[in-house]
Amino acid sequence: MTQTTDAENNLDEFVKFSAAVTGFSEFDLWGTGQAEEYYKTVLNQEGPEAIRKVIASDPSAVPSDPVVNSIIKLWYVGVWYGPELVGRMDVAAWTAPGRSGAKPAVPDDSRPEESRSLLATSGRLQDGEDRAHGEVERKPLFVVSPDAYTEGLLWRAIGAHPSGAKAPGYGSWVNPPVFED
Amino acid sequence: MSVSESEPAPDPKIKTIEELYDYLYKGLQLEHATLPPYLTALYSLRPGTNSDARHVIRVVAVEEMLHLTLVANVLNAVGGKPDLTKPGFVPNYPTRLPCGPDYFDVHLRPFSREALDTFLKIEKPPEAATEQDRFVPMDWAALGLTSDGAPPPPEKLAQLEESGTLFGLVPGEPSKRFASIGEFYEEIIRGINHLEDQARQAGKTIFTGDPARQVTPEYFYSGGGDVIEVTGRDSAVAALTLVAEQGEGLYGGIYDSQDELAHYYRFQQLEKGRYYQKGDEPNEPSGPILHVDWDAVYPVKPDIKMVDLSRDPEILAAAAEFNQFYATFLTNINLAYNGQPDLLLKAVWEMFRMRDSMNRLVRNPLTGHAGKNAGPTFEL
Repeated sequence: MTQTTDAENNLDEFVKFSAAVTGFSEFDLWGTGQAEEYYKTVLNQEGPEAIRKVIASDPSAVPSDPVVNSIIKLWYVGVWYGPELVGRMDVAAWTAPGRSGAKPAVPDDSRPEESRSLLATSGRLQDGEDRAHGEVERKPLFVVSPDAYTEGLLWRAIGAHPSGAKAPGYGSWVNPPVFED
Repeated sequence: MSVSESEPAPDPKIKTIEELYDYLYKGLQLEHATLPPYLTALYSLRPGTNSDARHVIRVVAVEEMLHLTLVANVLNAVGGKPDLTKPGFVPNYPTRLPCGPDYFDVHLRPFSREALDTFLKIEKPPEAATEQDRFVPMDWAALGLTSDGAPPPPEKLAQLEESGTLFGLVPGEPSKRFASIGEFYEEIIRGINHLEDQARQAGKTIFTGDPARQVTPEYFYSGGGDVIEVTGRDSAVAALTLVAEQGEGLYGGIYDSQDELAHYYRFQQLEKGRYYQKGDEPNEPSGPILHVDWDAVYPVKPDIKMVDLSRDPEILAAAAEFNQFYATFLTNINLAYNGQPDLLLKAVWEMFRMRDSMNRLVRNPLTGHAGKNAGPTFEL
């Protein structure tokens, strides 16, 4: 067996902590296929010190650290809401534009000037970007990846499937939602 | 494979209706046995990557499900009863399939060059066979099953014949096996012709099955070709021919009679990095380039078993639940093949749930197996 690296350990710890705060099992969180991506997102956005602090904290603490809230929301909806946005109910990245079809769901004043494009940015590093915190531009709101949307825990929590993905089969809508334990 | 019409075949192996049932059961077992390996490879592909490979493997897997249904229709048409719930129906992987002079192992493993190579062997068109070399002497020693090469003792042999761990044996003749799966189906077609000729001479038919037991197109949607309702000799031969040619191509061509690219050539596209298009010769695809990312795959532990999961209780529980669900699923499919074809529609919903379960399993890293992930074990 090869020696486990610090990076793998940190990822494991991140998933373990996430399980405690989301109410889903570690198995379910790994099962989304998003663990690495989410870990990197938090690392890039908040930095290694913040993530270390969060993981070491008591998962049952109330009120929780805003970064913890960001992590919970990340797992449930696949969207990174920076701690400054995480409590906002009017911010829904993947339903933009709003009902009118024209108005963006996120008011422009809720975001810094430089991150106006709503859906185009992801947590993935672009060419030339450096992974280290501080050199990556902070993006308070973005969909982590196309799969993050379909893997959001919210779908399983409500016994539904993400519209347009993970089709449950023709005619399955005659059944009530299946809730898991 | 050439399909003989009703010309008398030289000494058919199938001489009774019970023997025909046995062969068709083997056919069901064989068609199903390809699914766990294909599905394991399919779901090992990382989300958002390998869309070409995903599409190719998915189409083949769906067509294998069509084949299973077609064989069940033939068995029902001649008055038999499909049974997908018999012990041994699902192989304990790896299983073995014949390919010309050799047997090869079929593993449960993630998508890789080795997995693709196995898939190509599974679907490989047989060499043009003369009557004699449709059969190959069975080398039991080479398989490690006996030390002297003679067939195993009757008890062990019966167990091997019943389990899905070895395919292509000639039932009742343990010293021989079929050269290929194509020849196995050819033998079934000869048997049907032989038995039906005999029956007709006596003013009867072997197609005595209840038509209500047929799975007809309204119960089967897939895009994997049309399900054929089997009501007599012609439709039985058509169904079995479709099973053989969807894998291997028709008369040495790359397409089957429904104008679908045969499985062997579908897989070959991934090996060659290029799609086939109309007018292409075998082995020389000239269509658009396709891209395979061999590294964008979850490293599922090959031939994974429940015992490999002992250090991961959550994974163990999920794998056990999957196997339980799969057993129930096969029971439901079996009911569908035994007079309740409408259950197939519900089974599709179950398939989607199994897809989600398999996806979760393959994304979970294992403890104590560095760099390996979990996967469905298919231990029923």
